[in-house]
Amino acid sequence: MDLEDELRAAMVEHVADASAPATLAGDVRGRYRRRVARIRVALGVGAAAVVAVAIIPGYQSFRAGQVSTPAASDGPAGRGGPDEPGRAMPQPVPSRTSGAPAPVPSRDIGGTESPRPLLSHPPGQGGPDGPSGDGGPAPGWMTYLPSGLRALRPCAELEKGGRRTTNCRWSGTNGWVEVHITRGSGLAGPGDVIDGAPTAGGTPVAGKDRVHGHPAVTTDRPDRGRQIAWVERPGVGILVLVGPALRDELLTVAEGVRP
Amino acid sequence: MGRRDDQSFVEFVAERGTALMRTAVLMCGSRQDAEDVLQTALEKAYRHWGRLDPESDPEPYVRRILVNLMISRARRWKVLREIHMARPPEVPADPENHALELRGALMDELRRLGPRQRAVLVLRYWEDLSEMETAEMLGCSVGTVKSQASRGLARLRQRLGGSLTLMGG
Repeated sequence: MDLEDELRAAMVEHVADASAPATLAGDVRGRYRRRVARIRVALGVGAAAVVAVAIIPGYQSFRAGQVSTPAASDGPAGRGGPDEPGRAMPQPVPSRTSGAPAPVPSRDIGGTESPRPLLSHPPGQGGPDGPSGDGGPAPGWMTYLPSGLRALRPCAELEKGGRRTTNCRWSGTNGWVEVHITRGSGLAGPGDVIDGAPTAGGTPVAGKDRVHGHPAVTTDRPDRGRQIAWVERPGVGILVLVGPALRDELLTVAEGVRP
Repeated sequence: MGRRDDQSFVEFVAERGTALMRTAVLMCGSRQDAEDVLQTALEKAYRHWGRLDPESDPEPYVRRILVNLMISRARRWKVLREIHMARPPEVPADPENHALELRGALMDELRRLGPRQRAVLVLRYWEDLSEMETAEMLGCSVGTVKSQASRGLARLRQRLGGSLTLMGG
């Protein structure tokens, strides 16, 4: 017997007991159906991902445009969508581009003139497009506000003990934000800013924060709000206060204060 | 002209499944691999079953898928397969059991051949295909089939030299 015949015999012997399972056709068809289902699911997921990638940036930019600072061009109450949920992305206050009266430049805040409202229209009379009692557009140095807040009155300046303080407040259904900018000598650190503020006090919060790279002190307020103070530069101290509902936004708001 | 349907697929598998399974076992070496490769081959054929000519025999088409699958899979798994490959016995066997052991050693050596050489030998000596048909099945020339078969047999002869002499081969 030569090798070829031996090979044939070996093959016959080797596969003598091999047979296809009775369920082979059913297994194959089941496998095919599972494969088709997998492909369809993968295609569906891929299509959903493509749609999400296409839609989300547009949606985000739409939401980013909903910062509800009291821009005069937004309507009688200066509303920019206060009812929209969520927070707006930090961005320049729309009043800068809305054709509303220009905000007071930062150099005017610490000027030497007598105390006056910060905004370009006097309190109680409303701005060119706003009703009486409207706080008008936010100052230019306030580059971010959580959505749903508006100023009910213009920022005001107070002078006391050789220090000039600019006080601004925005409020709405989502809570409230206050910013106090103090200018004067003797402001060496965040403690000086807090001590000199009318809303001083509170419990220090553990951990150290920094705003614009400067050391800051965060404290919890008795009303469960929170405040943060820092010295922006020699002679300029800033205190930012937020209501209980906006505690988590404190740092973001603080970063948006750029006098 | 009609189209092939599910029922004809079931009938084909029932009729030719075992033959295809045996070819797959010889080409793959192990029963589990053979069953998996056969299922994959049949699934590929099933995908295009409706487009196959109902008048022609689908078996060569399915077998061609099977052979191509086995060759490509064997190349992918070459390293693992070599590690798990059983070695033929080094000690001469008892002459009475020699034929039996020689066949076992032949199958072991067949599995150790490259996938293409193994496919050529299986198609030529198991399926009894001509060199022309084998070449067509593998998508190569007749000359390639001849040389692959010749080299495959030479390698088997070389590795089993002593045993074959005892058999007078």
